[in-house]
Amino acid sequence: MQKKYPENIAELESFYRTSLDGIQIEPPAALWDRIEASLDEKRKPKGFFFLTYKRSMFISAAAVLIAAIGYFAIKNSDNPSEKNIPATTVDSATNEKIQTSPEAGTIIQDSPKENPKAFKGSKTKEQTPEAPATTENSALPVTPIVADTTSAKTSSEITPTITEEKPKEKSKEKVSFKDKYRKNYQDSTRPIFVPEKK
Amino acid sequence: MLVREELIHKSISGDQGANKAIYQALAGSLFAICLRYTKNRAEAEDWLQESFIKIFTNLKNFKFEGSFDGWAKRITINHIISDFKKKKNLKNAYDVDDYTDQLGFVDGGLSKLEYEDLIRFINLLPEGKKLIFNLSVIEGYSHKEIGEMLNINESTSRAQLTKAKDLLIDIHKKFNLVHAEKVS
Repeated sequence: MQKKYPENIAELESFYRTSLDGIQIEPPAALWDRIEASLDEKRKPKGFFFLTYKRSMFISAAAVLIAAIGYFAIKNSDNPSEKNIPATTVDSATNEKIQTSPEAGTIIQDSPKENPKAFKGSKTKEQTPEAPATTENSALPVTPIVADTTSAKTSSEITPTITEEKPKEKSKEKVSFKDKYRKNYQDSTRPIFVPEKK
Repeated sequence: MLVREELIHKSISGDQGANKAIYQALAGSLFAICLRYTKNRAEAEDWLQESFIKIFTNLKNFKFEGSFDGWAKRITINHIISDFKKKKNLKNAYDVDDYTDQLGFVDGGLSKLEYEDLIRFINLLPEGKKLIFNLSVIEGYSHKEIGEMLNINESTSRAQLTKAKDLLIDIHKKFNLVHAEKVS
């Protein structure tokens, strides 16, 4: 009988330690390929088009944000044109007269139309004096109009041609909602100027 | 086998050849460690694969202070322990797969047969005792370290180790007896 493996605790520990320490077992050859493949997979995520959960959430959030900003940007771009005009043209008493008489109203209103850049700056200064005139509707507006026509006859020569062209354009092609709305709105400003011709 | 610093730097910079060289240097000893903790060969391979992935992805965290081999070994053992904790099915295993037939024996003072015997004996231990026996006797961790690794008391680690040793002595006796009968 030959004793092969230690049968007492004193020998056991050192026996296992010395026996198994430093032993190497060759893993299957295919294992490296698996490791390499999974390492490649881990590297790919760094590519631009790979979507992790976090990235997809970030991108969707960014898209919503951009959409929201775009929406408000468009909305605000519409508003100033609407707001600027109404500030000067609050009076809506004589809408019908405006439409019937395109000639008189156009002369004064054309100055903001022709040079839109100056329009914003001129509104605050020029239009505010006109605003009190509008409140009195018929009598007072005459004075500012006369001043405009006398001071700038050159503008009066230019403007009537423009005003005549515009109604033609309206009838022909300009159908979009914004244009209709703006023109109607601008028309609503005319009542101020209509009485001047009398 | 020692892994040179040069090789590690190359691997960090993304050199695939360096990765493979590191793998070849460490795979044998790390696989031997994995095989001590399971009787299932496929599980040992999975551990080795996942450990190497951890080693390569955490390579930039290696501080070049201790030995690289020891660092890699620690990653492997930590991975095995975390897998043990995940499964928590520390069942009493007294049957052993014949995975040793498929092993390629590379190095060591033992004959292949002896090695197979020892691994089989260790794997006959219940999972918890096997873990502590390996960590304490073969890996050389103190009971304090083992307690921290496994979130158990030092005294529990000691008690489990003595029980593991008792079981192994019992196994040895039975094996020796059977072997002696065969010889005679």
